[in-house]
Amino acid sequence: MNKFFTAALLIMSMTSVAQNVLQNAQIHGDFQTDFQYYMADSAIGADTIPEKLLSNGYLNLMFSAGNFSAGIRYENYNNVMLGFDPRYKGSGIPYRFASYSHKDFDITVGNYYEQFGSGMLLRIYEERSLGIDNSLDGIRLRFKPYKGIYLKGVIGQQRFFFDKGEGIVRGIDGEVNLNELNDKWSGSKLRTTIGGSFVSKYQPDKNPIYKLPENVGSWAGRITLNYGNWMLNSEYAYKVNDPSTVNKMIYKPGEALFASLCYSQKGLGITLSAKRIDNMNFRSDRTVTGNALTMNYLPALTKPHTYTLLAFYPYATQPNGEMALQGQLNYKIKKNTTLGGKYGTDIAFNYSRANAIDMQKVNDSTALMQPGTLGYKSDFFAIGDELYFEDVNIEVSHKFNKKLKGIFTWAYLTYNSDVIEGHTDGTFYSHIGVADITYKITPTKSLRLEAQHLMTKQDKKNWANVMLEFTMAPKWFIMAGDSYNYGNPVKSKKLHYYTFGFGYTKNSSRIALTYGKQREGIVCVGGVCRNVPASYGLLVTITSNF
Amino acid sequence: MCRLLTDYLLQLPVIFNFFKMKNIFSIASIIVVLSFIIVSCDVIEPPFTQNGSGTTPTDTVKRKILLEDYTGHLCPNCPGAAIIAHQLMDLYPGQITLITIHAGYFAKLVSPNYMTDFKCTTGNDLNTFFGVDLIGNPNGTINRKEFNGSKIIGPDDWPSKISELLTLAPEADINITKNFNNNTSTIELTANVDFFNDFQNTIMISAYLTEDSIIDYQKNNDPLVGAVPEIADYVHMHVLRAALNDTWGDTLSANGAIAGAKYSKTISYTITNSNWNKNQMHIVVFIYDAESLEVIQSEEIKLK
Repeated sequence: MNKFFTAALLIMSMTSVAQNVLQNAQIHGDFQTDFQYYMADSAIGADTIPEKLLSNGYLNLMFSAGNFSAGIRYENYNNVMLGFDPRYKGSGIPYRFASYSHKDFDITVGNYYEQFGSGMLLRIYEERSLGIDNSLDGIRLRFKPYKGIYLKGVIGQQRFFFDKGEGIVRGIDGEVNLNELNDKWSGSKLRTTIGGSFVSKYQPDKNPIYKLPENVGSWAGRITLNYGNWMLNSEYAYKVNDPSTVNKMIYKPGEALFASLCYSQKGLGITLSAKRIDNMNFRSDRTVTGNALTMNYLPALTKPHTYTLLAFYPYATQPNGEMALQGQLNYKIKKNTTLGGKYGTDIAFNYSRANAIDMQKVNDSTALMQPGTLGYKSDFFAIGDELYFEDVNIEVSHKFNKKLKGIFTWAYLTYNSDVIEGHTDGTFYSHIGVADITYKITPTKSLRLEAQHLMTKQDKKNWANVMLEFTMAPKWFIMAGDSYNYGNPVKSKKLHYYTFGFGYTKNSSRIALTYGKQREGIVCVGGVCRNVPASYGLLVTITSNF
Repeated sequence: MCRLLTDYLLQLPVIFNFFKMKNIFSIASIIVVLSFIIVSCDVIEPPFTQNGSGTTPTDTVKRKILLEDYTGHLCPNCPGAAIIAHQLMDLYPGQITLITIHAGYFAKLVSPNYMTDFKCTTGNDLNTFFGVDLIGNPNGTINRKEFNGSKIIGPDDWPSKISELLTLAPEADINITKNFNNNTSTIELTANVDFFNDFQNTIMISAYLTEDSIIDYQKNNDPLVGAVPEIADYVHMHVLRAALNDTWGDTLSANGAIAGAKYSKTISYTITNSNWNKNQMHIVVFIYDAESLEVIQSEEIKLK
């Protein structure tokens, strides 16, 4: 009888706790589906798709109650849309987690995303538009042992489509905010944060040709200083020998240094950044390429362009080695001046450049990059002769009157396609001009015109692009555009890539339809790129948050 | 470097003590960190290559792996993959059956130097079915077996995966007898298969025709392999030309197989393309599980 009462009391108390928890519970999420009906067009190289219709779909469901949270993501690829890795084919729940946080402690089991410092050793993230999801499946601990001190530890295996990669990732990260740590420094004008990470991966060696390191360790140190209008941010990373497909199975240790200095005041902003990357591809499987199983993220020091023709030749960091720098100047010409006009004028000047690193033979009998050797020697501060990418651009934004404003951009790009795309087509030099004019008809209705031109003597020669967009905020938009490769020397290749689009937003749901032709090309987000084959058809995108 | 880091991290207790953090979490953190550092670095000293040979054939019947290398004459990284394939063939003599499949984007025809069409219907079918082109070249399949959820394996992973499979005992043996009529270019081929294991699923048998030593242009970006950006006299080997019995072959046994049983299949085929050099041709025969598509055993013989 006592047992019965004990059990009844236990059940009642658990039910009571559960009710309390559920009273504070929230469920939220988001849904996205993209599907495209494909049509063949031999002129642009759009092949016949046997399924006719391909679709990618995602549903995130998040549950939270007090200190507890849990979530899942369902994904469906029937079948995988063009431009995405076909190994995603199928459906399932590749992401699920449970998390509990209490005061200064946080535990997550299951799938999670994480970043240490700038991500040069560890950046676990999802970028759906590029088909990247390298989430870790394992355990993550976050701990704040003392004010101003933040510790993190991770262990797990990375997502590999609907499976997991072979390698095991382990990492720890510590960060100290000196101003939080010591009360004496809390009011200091100098804000200082220092941090360090150690990341290691384990993958068994079954290779009969090479002796491979099964445990590959890496470490990094970083500092961020803020003083008045100035900010300095820097991180150095080092990785032991990690022969892989990407580095052509060489055993040289890797290293990376990133530094950025910013100054800002009202109407003026200056940023100078530089980095050196040397053999820093880092994946939990040494033989995987593309966007799969990447453990780190090496940001490209280039301006991310969004206009169609400006984004024709995008750059992605070369993990095997590059020396890069970037300077950005933002200046606002004051109102009521000759150049500033009634509303002022914003000018943004940007210059970026990436070169090879210096590479010398290890010895006379070993060729450069010879597999199964150290590969090369490199002077840390020497810059290689080969230019990978250069971008000089200036953007002027001006509001002419209450209804009319414009953004005018000119850029000169140098793009080494051999290095960036791995082709053998040489270097492309291009001038690109863009005029983006917006005319506000009423406070909610506007008309936007983009006129772009790309001039180059290489690749497919000159292009022109025009796009007209009518928006009825906040619900409707309709657009029509065309990219015309009028400069192509082959008459049959002087093609139009027209697009018609329409979008409707209601509350937190949106539907967008795009019909037209898409040229084969490279799409990049944050310096990570994917090749998108040519396509022709109707694309429907539906998103909803709840 | 790992030692330096360990020394540095050994200072952590002093730092923590400075901040008056003698609590269990800090001690636990330090133990975890140190044990983590100690186990997490393998620095390999030269020489970096293994000096042992692959396998020493002791039995008359050996497992023979089917390696399908998806390639294209416009693929600058592909000559490097071919080298890995041939390194493996040297390492495991007689145990790797190689087919190079030219298909997809990198196999397109581009004037003036790349107008030789290495593609064929079977190669196109396989490329589409396995989705190799959309992942990129070079890539391959090893016995069409799935590893970590994917059948597509990068060239630098071929050695590990093949060595792993070759540790397993053969599950079948294929003996081929063939008759090639020079006048009519007709092949009469009979494959006799002995099974050493039981199989529940339908067993299929395929026979492909390959051609060696075709000298033509090939893009290349590796100066260690040859001229950059293209090799004018590249020797294309093991090029898939056709399937003798369609891409997915014929049924060898609809009801699986039992250990000790023998099955046979006769296949006829007439070569109609007069440009193929029959003196450089081989026939590759393999059997596979119709459900998983995994290849059980392969065999190769010269056409003439």
